[in-house]
Amino acid sequence: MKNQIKNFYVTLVCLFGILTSCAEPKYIEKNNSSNQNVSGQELQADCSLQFQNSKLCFTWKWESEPSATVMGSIILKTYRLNYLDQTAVETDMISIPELVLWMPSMGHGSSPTASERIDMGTYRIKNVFFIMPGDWEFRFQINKDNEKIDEAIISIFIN
Amino acid sequence: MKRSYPFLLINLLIIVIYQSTLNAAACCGGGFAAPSIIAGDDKAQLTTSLSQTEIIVDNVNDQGIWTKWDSHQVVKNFKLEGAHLINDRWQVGASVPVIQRNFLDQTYSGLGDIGTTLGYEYLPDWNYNPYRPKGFGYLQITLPTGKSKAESTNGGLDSRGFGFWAIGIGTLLTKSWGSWDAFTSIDIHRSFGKNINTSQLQADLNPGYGGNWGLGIGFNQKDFRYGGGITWTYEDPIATEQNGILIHKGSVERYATATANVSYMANDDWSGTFSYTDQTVFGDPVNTSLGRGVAVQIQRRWSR
Repeated sequence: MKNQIKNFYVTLVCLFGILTSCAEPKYIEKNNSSNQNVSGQELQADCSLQFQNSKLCFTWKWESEPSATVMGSIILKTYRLNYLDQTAVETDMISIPELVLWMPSMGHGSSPTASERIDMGTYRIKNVFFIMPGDWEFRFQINKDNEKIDEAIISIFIN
Repeated sequence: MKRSYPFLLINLLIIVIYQSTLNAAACCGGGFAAPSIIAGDDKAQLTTSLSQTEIIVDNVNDQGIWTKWDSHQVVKNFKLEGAHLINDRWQVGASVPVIQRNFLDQTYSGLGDIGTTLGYEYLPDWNYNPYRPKGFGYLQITLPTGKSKAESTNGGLDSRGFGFWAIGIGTLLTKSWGSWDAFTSIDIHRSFGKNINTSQLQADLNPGYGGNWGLGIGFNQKDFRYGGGITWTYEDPIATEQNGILIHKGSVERYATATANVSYMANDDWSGTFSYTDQTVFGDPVNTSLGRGVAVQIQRRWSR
């Protein structure tokens, strides 16, 4: 019996040794390139980004990039493809798109953003602020009577 | 059987240290509340603690990649814990935390998740067996009185708890040899889903199982105890469903909290503990934030 108890304690000590191996931080060097990858969509206008229900196309770019302490703003353009030559025809959404910032892995959002219409199919989204770096989603949402009727989701890594 | 003063000291301080090692995740909310257990020869105890944690690593993603900024959240936690015997081996307890979270110029505070405990001393140490530890088992129910991070509309700054009903069972084993002591603890809990309806999320959240495993040792000298411990924490993914359709399966949360502490037992009734905790040292954390912090605990006991 005593041997069994001794073995139990020895096993516990061994487990302790294995589990107390030090954490190995895997940092990503800070740069802004990853934030800019997606904004290249502005130039392409190839309808690679679409709202789920209306199928309207959109592009977006940073008007001012946010930092750890400063809010940023986004220019969002919505358009459809011309029936003749597939060029972009700027088109208004049924209502002003709203942007929800969401961190899916951790299951929380960030502070609310504010949207305004600037021109036909052109919107400015202000107060874009990430509470922490990491994997985020832009959730562009179209609401009517407080109901979400359309959405487009983009993944983005904030470094 | 009346126990000796050093024996009492060790058992009392072990439980103080044990409670200080069960820390919430640094980010946006917290984990399972620590149980309030009387480990000594008392009929009641009241513990008050104040901790301050600065988040050092703002985000560890589900791939284990660490990212951090220059500005960090600071979390203060003021907690009242009480426990009372209901007979020789059964006891009840409760913990009430008040949490304040600060980031840049924003500060939010409020009630955290309240924990209630029913404990039973299933392995009394009446005969000073050289090997057999002293053991407590407990059942714990956590009330979601603190807002969960998913319910927050400002990135979790006003989140003050895990935010789900949870029920758990656990055990605490303690043992002392001369001036040395050790403890190990394990708990498993099940959290229950809830519907979230905010401007940012309209969905059903379904958490799962989680657990903590703690180990610690201490050296006792006169009225002081110098100790250290580690607690590993795990939480199942929190799945997100809309209209019954799974839209995000979530990912596990995992981190380890290392603690170093010194305790002082002023007399039979009063003791105090200073603790330093660090979540960046051990383990293989995923899907969490990591912090470092300090805590002060003062405990009042009423003997049988």
